[in-house]
Amino acid sequence: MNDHLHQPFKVKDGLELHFVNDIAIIVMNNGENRMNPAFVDDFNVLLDEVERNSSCKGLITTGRGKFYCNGIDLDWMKQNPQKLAEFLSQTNKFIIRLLLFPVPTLAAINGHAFAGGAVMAIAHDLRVQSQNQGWLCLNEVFINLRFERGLVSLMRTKVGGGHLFTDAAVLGKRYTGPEALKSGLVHAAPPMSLMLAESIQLLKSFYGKSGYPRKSLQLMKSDVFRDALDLFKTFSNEMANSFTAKL
Amino acid sequence: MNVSDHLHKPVKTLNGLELHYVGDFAVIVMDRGENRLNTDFLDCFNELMDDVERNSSCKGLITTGKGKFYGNGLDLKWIAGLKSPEMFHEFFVKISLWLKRILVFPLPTLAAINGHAYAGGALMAFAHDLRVQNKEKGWLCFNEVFISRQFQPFHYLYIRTKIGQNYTEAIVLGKRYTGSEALSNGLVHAAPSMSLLLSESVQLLKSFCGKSGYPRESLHLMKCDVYRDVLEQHQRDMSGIGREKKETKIVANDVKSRL
Repeated sequence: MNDHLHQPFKVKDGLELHFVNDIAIIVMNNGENRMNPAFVDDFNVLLDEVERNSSCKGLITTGRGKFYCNGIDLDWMKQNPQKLAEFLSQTNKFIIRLLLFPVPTLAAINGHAFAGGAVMAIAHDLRVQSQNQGWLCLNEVFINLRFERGLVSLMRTKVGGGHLFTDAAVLGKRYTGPEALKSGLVHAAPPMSLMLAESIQLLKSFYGKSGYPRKSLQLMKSDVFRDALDLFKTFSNEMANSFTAKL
Repeated sequence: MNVSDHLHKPVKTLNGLELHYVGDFAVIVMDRGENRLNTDFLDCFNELMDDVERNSSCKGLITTGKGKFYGNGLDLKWIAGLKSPEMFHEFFVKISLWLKRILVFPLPTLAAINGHAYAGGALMAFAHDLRVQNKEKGWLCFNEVFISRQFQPFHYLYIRTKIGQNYTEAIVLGKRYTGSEALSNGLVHAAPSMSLLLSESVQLLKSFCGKSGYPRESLHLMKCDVYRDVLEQHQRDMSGIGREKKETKIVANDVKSRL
């Protein structure tokens, strides 16, 4: 898919920032694209660039190869147990930043999006998943990890109620592109070769000619996700403890 | 044609409630006519659930009925015969605790709806993780609105999470759903013919469990986290039931007057 992209505007370790006309595209090119402090720092630097570009009207994030993002870097965690709480706080802030980003966001799920990677995809406004590669899956329940209240609320708002929510969050069901499309988790499930083109199309179809007024979009997101944001402020030990138990 | 014709001898039977095992899955078959909820029903059901929990190789729980009914709700006749408001309380506390127990059970749960699931029977079905309803017989229906009954506050919360979009229709307007209607409205996962109810339920449960099943503690905690608001409200409701002794007398008389 990234054969369609030219030279990146900026590269931070394995993360590339491209601009395709008015749309920013962040390509994660780091194997499983697991989240650790370096990943989050680099990603934030690129998000800063996107925000600084006042002509930019939308953001697509995607991966290269087999993975969109396979979740939190558990190896890093095992080696740095004393930094756990700080890192989880940093990750929450990152998810919230994506959630409230002042331009519309689209996760182009090129491959596996498990656990934290699925949460990251869900934090975007829109999702497009490859028809024939990779699963979208909140598999925390299978690996003894818990969600904190803000995340539960976020997922409930985004995924909706009904059995979709309980299937996905409680029972950790995994979805191929077509299954995710059928259940409403993603907007489209094109073949890999059309992922970029369809993602751009879809994003454009939402922001029209002039794009969203940035402040307005950000405030609207804050209003709609207020419950989740309030709950993120309440610190709860359960999620952190569930990680500690794995170390 | 009964779901349970496919099942062999139960490992245990308590007053019309049978416990079977199909591979790694426990199947509780309710064979008590309308399967209405009273203290004896709940005590027997809880004992079978204890057995299931104690069986460490068990990976899931299916509940189903025999004949025309999955569950037709509270045993109103029996309630009207209760001799004191204290007994009335005790029963309502017991039902609430039982629904909560199903809601956060440490195994994945599936309600295989073989027939009518009305009021309390529907509440029971929705406390499960998954629902499969046969497409030939019976309705799924929260008919409380038609018989002037209200839900406990915590009921609304878990029903709302489980039902999603059609909440108003199902609860406020008490719509009744055949298996096919329930399927197209997202209330159940599948609506097979009666003869396939058990096997499709087993298949569906397997598709979620995978090879090793869920770590029990993890699944229980995940349910507690996802249904946190329900559990918090449940706590408040329980202390409410304790305090409102006067009100339950009124409700008990109210029930009596409607029979």
